[in-house]
Amino acid sequence: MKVLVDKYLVLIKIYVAEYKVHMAAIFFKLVQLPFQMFMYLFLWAFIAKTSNVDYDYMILYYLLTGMLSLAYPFLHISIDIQNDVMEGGIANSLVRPYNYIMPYLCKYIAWMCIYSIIYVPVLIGLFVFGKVNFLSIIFFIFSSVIGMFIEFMIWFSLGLLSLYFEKIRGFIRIIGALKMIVSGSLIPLYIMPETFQKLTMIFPFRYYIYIPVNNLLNNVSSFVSFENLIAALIWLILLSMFAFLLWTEGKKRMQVNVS
Amino acid sequence: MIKVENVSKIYKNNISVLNNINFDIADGEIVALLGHNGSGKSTLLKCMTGVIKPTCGKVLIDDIDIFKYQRKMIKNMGVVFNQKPSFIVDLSVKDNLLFFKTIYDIDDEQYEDMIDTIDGYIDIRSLYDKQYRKLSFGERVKCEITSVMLHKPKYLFLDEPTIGLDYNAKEGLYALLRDYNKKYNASIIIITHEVDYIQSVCNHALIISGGNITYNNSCDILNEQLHQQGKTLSIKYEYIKDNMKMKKLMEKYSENKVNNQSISFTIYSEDEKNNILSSCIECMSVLEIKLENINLREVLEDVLQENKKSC
Amino acid sequence: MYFRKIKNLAKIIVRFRLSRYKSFKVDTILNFTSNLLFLIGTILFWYIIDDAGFIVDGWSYNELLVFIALSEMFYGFEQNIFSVASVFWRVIYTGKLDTQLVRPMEPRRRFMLLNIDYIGLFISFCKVAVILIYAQIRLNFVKLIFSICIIFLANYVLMLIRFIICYASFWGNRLDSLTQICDSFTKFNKYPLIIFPKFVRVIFQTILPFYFFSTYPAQFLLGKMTVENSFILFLGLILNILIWKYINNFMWKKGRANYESISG
Repeated sequence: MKVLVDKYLVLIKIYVAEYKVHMAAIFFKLVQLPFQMFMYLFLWAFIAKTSNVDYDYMILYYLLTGMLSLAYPFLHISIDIQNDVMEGGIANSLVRPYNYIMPYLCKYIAWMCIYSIIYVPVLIGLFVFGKVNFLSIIFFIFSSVIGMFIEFMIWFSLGLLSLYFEKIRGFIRIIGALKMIVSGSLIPLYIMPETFQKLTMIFPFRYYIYIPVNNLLNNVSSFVSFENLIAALIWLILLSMFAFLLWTEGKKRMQVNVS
Repeated sequence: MIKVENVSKIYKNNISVLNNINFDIADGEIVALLGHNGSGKSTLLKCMTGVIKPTCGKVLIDDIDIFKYQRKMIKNMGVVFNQKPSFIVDLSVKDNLLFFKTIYDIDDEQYEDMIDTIDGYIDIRSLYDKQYRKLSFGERVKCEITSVMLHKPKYLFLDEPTIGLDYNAKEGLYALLRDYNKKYNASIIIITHEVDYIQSVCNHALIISGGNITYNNSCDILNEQLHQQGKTLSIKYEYIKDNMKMKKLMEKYSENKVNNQSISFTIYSEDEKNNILSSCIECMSVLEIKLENINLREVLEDVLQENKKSC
Repeated sequence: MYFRKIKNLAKIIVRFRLSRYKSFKVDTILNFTSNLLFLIGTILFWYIIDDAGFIVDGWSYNELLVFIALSEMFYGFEQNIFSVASVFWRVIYTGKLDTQLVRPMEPRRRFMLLNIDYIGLFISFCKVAVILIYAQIRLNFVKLIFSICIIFLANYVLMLIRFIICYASFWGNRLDSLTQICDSFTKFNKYPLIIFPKFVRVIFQTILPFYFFSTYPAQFLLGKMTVENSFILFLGLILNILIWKYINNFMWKKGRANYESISG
């Protein structure tokens, strides 16, 4: 067990060291955020002229959801696995003494460790200007960490589908579309009609975007926050089991293409 | 005709890869471009095909600056780069070849004719219905070579075309190139490390070392030089019986290499061999005797070394 | 002879596309489904805005549906023809450009043509037709065709900008963010750009083509502009095309002269 943990830690440290050298590349991922915020600033200001909208809340909401959704090129987790399978590179991983998930997970964790720096000034700002309380910040951190792993397991499981179907762009786009609608990145979920809100509970996407941001900005009660954390953990366990099943069965039917 | 005039290439990190290269390739020549790894062979090939711009100098093909007017000369060239496929990976070989047929604007008759010809040498039709990405490395190489010959180019540039090919396929490829050269008077430039095949295919050799052309002549002369190198007599021994006799032997036959408990002599005649053998038996406890032809690769290394020193 | 070549090329590219669909049937069906889901998401957004009582001044819900239809047309052209330009930098960065430079087809043209999704394009047209029928607004057919042409040209300009950004790879460094930058421009298609102040709109009408993605076509189609204004803005699009075409050609030549390829 210790050897396994050590392997992971070593790889994480290696990736962290690598990312520290190329920090600009990590924050360049946020290059879409100014364009996005530019649109939202003017859109909601335009709507607020003639409607009763909490403009400040909307801007903060889209800023935080933008930072979360652009935190990592999630699509690449699945696409990299797809390319690995289609080009035959997966054969190299099968003859190494580590799990297939290891390099992806370690890279992801390392990236997120460096990226999390960006939240510090934002959270401090929110706290100082009295928008949020300290407990909300704690719950935000916990729920976004669990949500981060849920997000990883979703895209990793998606990538493993390439063991069955090879090309999985269609799957990736479907998940991307679903995520856009039910995660809360399109519009705050509480604005949606109740039927839609209930529909979003079927999917795990809200646990990475909507739940943490809602916890933070709406100063949700500790009990509800705790409930959400438990639900998120259950989703994480289910997704991990699903990924494991996909991998075990997928390996049997996989055809390794010559690279 | 290909003229390379004062071509130098210095990369962005100030690494000079090519250094004032000058040579001509006449029509109908098959040229072997040889050299160590990192000597600049591929860079030279890319300059000759107009892919990269030389830092100074120019390459003229049929008196046209190939970098400036590359698009005009494209249909006269066929290029295969080392480990860079030009096929669309998720389509079949047949579909890919049809694509090349279309973009080169080849009529059906010529297409079928060339496929039949090439198939006779490297058996391309057996790969027709397979998806490109499911082919083995050698099979992909065959496909690439086929794709660059369909339009009967006047100039063929091949960067290590025999990598991944089995013996028969290699023989087939070289036969194809010889026949293609004879039939169409095409100039063929081949980058290769397989010096064993030089004589059977190429009539002109260029050796590049450290960015300079260190040999630019007929393959026959090179082979003559190679054959003058003689044979290697290797002797393994347990211990030395007589140090003085050993010392005299080493001085008399100075072309030798000592390695732990073995010595190698380069010999040029039967008499030399007999003399060395009898001397060795006298001065050392011989365990094993081996007589082999000089490894041509080693000779090429020596040629390169020699040229390096003379430069 | 040239037209024969074009015809043969078009035939073979359609055949390749069908061949790909056959090889990856599940992926094809899911791609189509995902397009529908994205459309549902967009319509849902405006439905919720309308339902929640938020008003976009000067635009009724039905008019916003026309905007969504033209926005879908933009995405249809973008995803099925032009968006692949964002990843051209990989061709340069990985040295695959070598193999394309020594073939008779111009590399950028080859890159674009081989990735056209004709079926996806056809489906996009169908989606647009359905949304326009659902919007229940009478529209002029000639104006509609003109609007679609404008969207196509705007996409063409965006493609030129994407290529220009990708040419940064000629100068060496890997920049995944290049794709991100290229793709982020399409965010200006999601909402009517009347939300921006005038000086921003002028930039989006003259130097950058964002206004022509769907806002100008929608305004033109719905008769929200005078003929004079329409004509002046159309000149803005022409200006965009000229400026970006020139910059594109210039940067390509410079990039090619600087190209060093990689590996052996």
